[in-house]
Amino acid sequence: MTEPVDVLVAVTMLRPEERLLLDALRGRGLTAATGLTRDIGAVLNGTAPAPAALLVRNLSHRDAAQVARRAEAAGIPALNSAAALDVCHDKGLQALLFARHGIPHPRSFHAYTDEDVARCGEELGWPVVVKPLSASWGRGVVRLTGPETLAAWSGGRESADAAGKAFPVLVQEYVEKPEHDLRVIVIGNQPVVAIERRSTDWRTNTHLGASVRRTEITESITLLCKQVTDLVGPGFYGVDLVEDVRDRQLRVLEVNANPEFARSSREHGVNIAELLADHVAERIRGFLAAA
Amino acid sequence: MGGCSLLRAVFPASAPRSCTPFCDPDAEFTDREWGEMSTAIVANCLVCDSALDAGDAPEKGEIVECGSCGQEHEVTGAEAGVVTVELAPEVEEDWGE
Repeated sequence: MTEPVDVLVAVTMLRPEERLLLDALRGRGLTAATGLTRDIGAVLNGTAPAPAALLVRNLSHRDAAQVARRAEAAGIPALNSAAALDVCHDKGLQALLFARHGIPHPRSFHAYTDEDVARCGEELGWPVVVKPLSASWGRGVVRLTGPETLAAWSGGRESADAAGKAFPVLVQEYVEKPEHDLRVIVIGNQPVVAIERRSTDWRTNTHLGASVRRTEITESITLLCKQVTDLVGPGFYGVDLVEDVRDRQLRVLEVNANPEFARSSREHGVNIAELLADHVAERIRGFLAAA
Repeated sequence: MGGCSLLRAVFPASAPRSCTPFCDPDAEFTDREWGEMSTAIVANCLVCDSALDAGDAPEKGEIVECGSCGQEHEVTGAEAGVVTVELAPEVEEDWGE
């Protein structure tokens, strides 16, 4: 990369999503290139020209956080911001911030020991969901129905993690949902598409095979997404919502900073890459005007 | 993560026959390597040494699968007709959305 580009897309590997984004950005007259972490390093060290903005699309949470932090420190705006990435990569931070800011969220506790998990189960009422703080795609997320399943979970954890480094984990009330949850794609501050994710598994990650179907963006969805973006700032997010069958109210499960969209776009028909490219172009104009 | 592989582009016949600073300048290129007016960029698989086809305009980070052995490679550089690859990264525990 010898010429400065408008948008440097930080990647761990190029997925169909980033290919679509590159095409959409270039279609708007922006220059765009992909960069691996070593390329970002060259920019930080001044041996490669700085882009107008860094679009962070790393699969690796560690890489995403560090390239965003260092780019911002070097005066290069990162999308999403490093602060937003920190929150999105940590379900525990989200639980605390959602509670503090009145964003509806399943009751959640941090647990630092197996005994803590047991106490949380008694406090919340079984079943409970145990989540690693920073896992994705449903990895490591389990539903514990009571002390017996907790003992099985603890035994498995101990064999793989004798030192207990997996702690803390998030222990969350299990929300009975109507056979699906919702994934809402947010660009800037606006929800642009909502999809129902259905699965025979209680986990509804599309990575685990859930099917998707477009659904209406209701006022309550818009309100919840606004509450989330008020908290983490405008950006590109996948906000997961769940309806509690007891009171029919939506709750925010989590917010993701690097949502995948290539496969689901084919189902719901909304061109996420084009909308995101519009947003990036607008943000770059703002950055340049402020410089 | 494997080591870097230096790849030879399949340039049009009229293109200068320069490769990378690390290539043997006296190497004898075969018809397969230079092609017939093709602009496709190829590389060799880091596992079985078969030719990889990185397409006409590979981007950094793109994954290229070896048609012979199935090994996936990641494009780490693609400038001036020269492409470099490494073995594609494996899924790690911090990967996700």
